[in-house]
Amino acid sequence: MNSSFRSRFFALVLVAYVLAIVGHFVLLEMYQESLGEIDSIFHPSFFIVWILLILTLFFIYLYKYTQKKYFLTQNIQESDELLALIDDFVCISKTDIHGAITYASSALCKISGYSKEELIGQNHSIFRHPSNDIRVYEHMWQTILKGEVWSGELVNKTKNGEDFWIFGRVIPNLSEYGEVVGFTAVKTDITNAKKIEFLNSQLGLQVDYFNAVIKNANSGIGTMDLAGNFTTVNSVFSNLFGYSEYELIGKNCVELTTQDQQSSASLYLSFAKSHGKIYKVNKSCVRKDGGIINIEMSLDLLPTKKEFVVVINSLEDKIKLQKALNRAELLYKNAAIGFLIIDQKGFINDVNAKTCEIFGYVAHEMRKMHSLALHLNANAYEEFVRAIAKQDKNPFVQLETRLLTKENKIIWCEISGHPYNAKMALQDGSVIWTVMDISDKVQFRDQIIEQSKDLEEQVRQEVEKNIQNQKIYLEDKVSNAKFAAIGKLAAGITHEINTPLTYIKGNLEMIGFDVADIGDVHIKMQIQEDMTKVFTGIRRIENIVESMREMSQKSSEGRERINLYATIVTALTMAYNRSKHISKMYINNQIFEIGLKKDREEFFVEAQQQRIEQVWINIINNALDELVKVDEFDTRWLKITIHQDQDEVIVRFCDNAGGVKEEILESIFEPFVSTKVHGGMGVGLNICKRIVEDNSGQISVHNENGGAVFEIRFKGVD
Amino acid sequence: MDKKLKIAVVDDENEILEMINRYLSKTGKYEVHVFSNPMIALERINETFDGVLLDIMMPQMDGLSALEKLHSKYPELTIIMMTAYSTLDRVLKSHKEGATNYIMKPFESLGVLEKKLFDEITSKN
Repeated sequence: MNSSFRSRFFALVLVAYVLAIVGHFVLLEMYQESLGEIDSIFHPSFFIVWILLILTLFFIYLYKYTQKKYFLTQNIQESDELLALIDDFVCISKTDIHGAITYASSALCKISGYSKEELIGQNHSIFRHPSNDIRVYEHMWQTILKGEVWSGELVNKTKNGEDFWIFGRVIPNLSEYGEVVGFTAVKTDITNAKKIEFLNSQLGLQVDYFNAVIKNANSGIGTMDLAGNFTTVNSVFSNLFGYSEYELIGKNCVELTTQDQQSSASLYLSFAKSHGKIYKVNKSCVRKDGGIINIEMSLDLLPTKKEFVVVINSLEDKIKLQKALNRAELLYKNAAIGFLIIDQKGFINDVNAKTCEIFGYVAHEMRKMHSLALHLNANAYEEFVRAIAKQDKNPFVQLETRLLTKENKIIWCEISGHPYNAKMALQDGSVIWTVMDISDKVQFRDQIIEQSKDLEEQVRQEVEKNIQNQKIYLEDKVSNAKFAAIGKLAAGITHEINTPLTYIKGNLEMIGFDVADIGDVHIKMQIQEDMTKVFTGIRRIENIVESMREMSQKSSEGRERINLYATIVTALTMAYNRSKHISKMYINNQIFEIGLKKDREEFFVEAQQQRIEQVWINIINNALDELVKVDEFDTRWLKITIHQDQDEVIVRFCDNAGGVKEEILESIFEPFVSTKVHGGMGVGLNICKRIVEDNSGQISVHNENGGAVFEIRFKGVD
Repeated sequence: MDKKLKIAVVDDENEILEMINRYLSKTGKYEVHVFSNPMIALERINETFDGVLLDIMMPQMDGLSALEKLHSKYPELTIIMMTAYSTLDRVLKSHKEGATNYIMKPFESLGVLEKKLFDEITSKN
């Protein structure tokens, strides 16, 4: 309220009061006598009171009136400003009962992007955003239709389709009869608050996200203060050092480095402090258990400038990997096997030195080549590719194939590797093949195959020989057994023959006495002549039986001192039955006849008598076999000589049956060499040789004077 | 010759016994007793005998055991073993068991046999 207006008003009131008082007293002077007694309040003496009262009432009214009028003017001015303000800054809309907009504030238009003209008459649902829950609207309508105020948060849609959040109050407008005729909605724009709220939650999520990342990172991540004391670490970090997370917090990073690296660690720390970061420096650190661990460390100063973020990675794996790589590279470079890296199109990407050596190329020449060039021709390559494709079930292929060197020399190679479709292919789809020059091996193998054929033949011959030896052995055994059996039989026979022979001989002798008494000389002579013949016969029987007896009796296999002459006589006796029809036989120029004294000559040796006799019989029989082929009986002879030459006793069997054929002369003592077309196993002389050699003797054969000479030498004994 | 020499011949072959008997008897120098069974011979032979011709291979008894028994009973008795070649080794060994001499079958001649027998008996006496 205006103060000048009030002071002016009160001055006016004061002037009116002064005039009323002056007028009262004037009236009182003029009308004093006539006034009379004061009998009522309407008495003129109360005039002034009345005047003042009326004046006061008048002024109060006037004051009130003027004041009201003033304020009204003032208010109207102010509310217009206010309304404009509200219109500008408060989102208000009014609708009729059906929701049709009757009024929209400028602020609402501004925020929603519509003009007032566009909004008026539109239904309020124009702002409705589909993301709101329909039940919110239902609840709102229920509330406001009852005439109550509804308030709540809603997201609305601008003309451009953007979101804006409001806090709305919907007030029902009532008619003078209390009916709801429309609604006024007052909306507060809370979009920014909502955005902040959203950002806050996003921030929280991100913090959670980063925490999770840090927690699950493969690297050790931690923070430390500017002095290098750890403030937080993740589990990977603490595990790398062998501490628990809590043990590490508060520890100084310099303490963890090895003694010799502590000064450099401090330097790194101050460098990071001044430059904001250090990137991937390698350090050796000491684990809790005292072990040394090599790590790679990066430091980042946080924007607060109060903490570092430390990221560490163990270099152990890296070092191992590096070692493995070095090894692999070394292997690749120096391997005695050729390596070829071939891409999917068949081009050679890389080769090692051995491959170059095998094929005679320089490495860079091969790197441009298609692997086709290594094959004999396109067909061979196709064949090779097909061969690989056939093996697709097998993850590893090994093939022997002929390949071509730079000089077009064909070499045998063994190629192994994984086919293109295998999982073993490199990342770019290329594969590694190994190649070995196996030309030598193949050649060797071919040789071996050839040799094994020879060997087979050799083995076959050897086996045959063994079988033959076995036969000889058996033959020998059988022959021994035969002799033993014959010996036994002979022993029995000689005894049985001896007895009748004894009394035949005795009785014949007695006949001789009786015959002496016969008177007829002629008869006596005849009988005596016949008896002589009988005696001769008996003597022959005796000799044969004795020889048989000797063969049978001397079956002991041990060597003994024997007269070699006697053994020859025995053999000749045994062979006599046959020889007398074939050939004459001489021993030391003496023609042999049954009854030849065995001790006529003496050549002692140490030998197995029976076995030696066997040899003689064999040689004599062989000679007889040949002699029978000579036409005339009279011209046939077998001459046996025995003599001593120094300490050797030499026995020779010489015949005139044409000699041994030259082609078998060398091998006549080998088994199964026989001069006979039929019969004869051809083992006889082989056995003879063995018997002679078993008795430390030697046997040889040569041809002389149209016949064969078998010469046997033994060491003589006294 | 006043008294005939009493001889026993032991052999399982009757033909041989008969032959030797005939021959020796014929000489007139011997009183010959023949035994085809060595068991009986062992019973009958006593100190009155001057000599024994004993075959070595007999089915009832081995001549060598007969020799052993005879020799232990009558060490002075002249015993000549008759042997074939097949048993010669054994006969040679039998010498120390009391055999005075031996003669091989078949005999070279009966004369040789008789001479050997006579010589052995007379040399002992």
